[in-house]
Amino acid sequence: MTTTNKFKDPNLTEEEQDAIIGSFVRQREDTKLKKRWTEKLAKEHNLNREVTSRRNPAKIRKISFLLLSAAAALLFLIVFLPSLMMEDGNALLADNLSEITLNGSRSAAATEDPTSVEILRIQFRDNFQAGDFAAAAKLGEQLIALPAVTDNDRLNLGFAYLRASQFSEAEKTFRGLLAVNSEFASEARYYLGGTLLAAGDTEAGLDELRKINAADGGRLLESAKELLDANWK
Amino acid sequence: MQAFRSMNTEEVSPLRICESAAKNFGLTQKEFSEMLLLLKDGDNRLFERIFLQHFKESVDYLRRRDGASQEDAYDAVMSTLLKFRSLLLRGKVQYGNLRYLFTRMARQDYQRSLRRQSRFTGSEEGPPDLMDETGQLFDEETHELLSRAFSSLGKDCRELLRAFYHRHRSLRELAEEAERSAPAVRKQKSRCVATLRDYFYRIS
Repeated sequence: MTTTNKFKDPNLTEEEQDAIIGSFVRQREDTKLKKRWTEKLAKEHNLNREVTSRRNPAKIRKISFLLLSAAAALLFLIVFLPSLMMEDGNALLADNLSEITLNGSRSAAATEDPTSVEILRIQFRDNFQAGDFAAAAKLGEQLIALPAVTDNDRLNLGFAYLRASQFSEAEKTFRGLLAVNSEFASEARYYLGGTLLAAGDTEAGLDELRKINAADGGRLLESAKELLDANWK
Repeated sequence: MQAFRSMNTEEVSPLRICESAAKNFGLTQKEFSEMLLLLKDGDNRLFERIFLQHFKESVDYLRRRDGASQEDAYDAVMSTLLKFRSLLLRGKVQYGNLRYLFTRMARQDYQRSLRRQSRFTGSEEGPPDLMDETGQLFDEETHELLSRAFSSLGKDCRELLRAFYHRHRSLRELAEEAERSAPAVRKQKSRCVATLRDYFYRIS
């Protein structure tokens, strides 16, 4: 293959020069033809590169609308909400792990002088991360019965309930955090909304999401807005 | 240039003509010859009328036969149309079964684009298609500089280079048409190329 860098070479042979210029002229003119044909196809033959709705556009729009609505709901239930939960769950669990690190190395802290709370947190985390949310919820229940429990643990338990589809328990846990004006009240509000939506109580879920404001943080507000903007009919 | 030549006077039945035309995008041999002459003259209108009319059926064929997406099928047919035009001008395509040849080329083009995309999995769009049939590869900067240089040429030079390189006209044909000698046209082309290179150096 010849590159046109050769074109700058003063010792270029006539043949090479011809090849380069010929190539350039063909590309230039082909580009113009392509543009002209694209316009003619669209204008005179109603044919576009992208698929466009030509037959009964109103009906197709209606079907697209329904499909988009279903996709939005499905996205929330299957991808969006679990994804958010996993991220936040992971973040909160990572906080717990960081606290263990402060007491020494992670493994040493967990194995040499473990407290019941730390052991349960580790087991909770392992089960949650392994996707066994029901088992994680059981461990979380044991955890919050201990005196050293934190709101972090309660929020994580709410996540486990939600992921295990134990919606009434999840709702109760998040409402509990809201009732004590926990430092995680904003998260609790957002996930309470998500729980209610997942449980099928759409109006109540959206009502909770509407209560989220700028003071709850930009990320939560943005996520709540996206859910509020989705079609839930 | 004369845009029409008398067709073969051999007797053919109307049925044969219909069958033959169907294989050739509805073109009779006479119309095919006429289209070639017009193309060589720089008049694309008949070619466009015939081939753009059949563009959609080729796109639909690729979608149906190869499961191509609308966009991929459209791109393959467009690319084939440009190559087909070039082959016609170079006398590489004969009247016979243009539809079969065109469809086969479009399928090959689509399959090539699939292979190219699979080599560039990190890019949704695939590599830029800046390579022409002779295998010359232009980087964007060079292409832009050459474009500017080409636009600075006089009208006669631009038309001569277009006729020679894009419409594949020989210098002898161009000389006959302009009622000049072939060496004179060759000299003119050399001057045009030298000017193009000169402009290119100046703006580089």
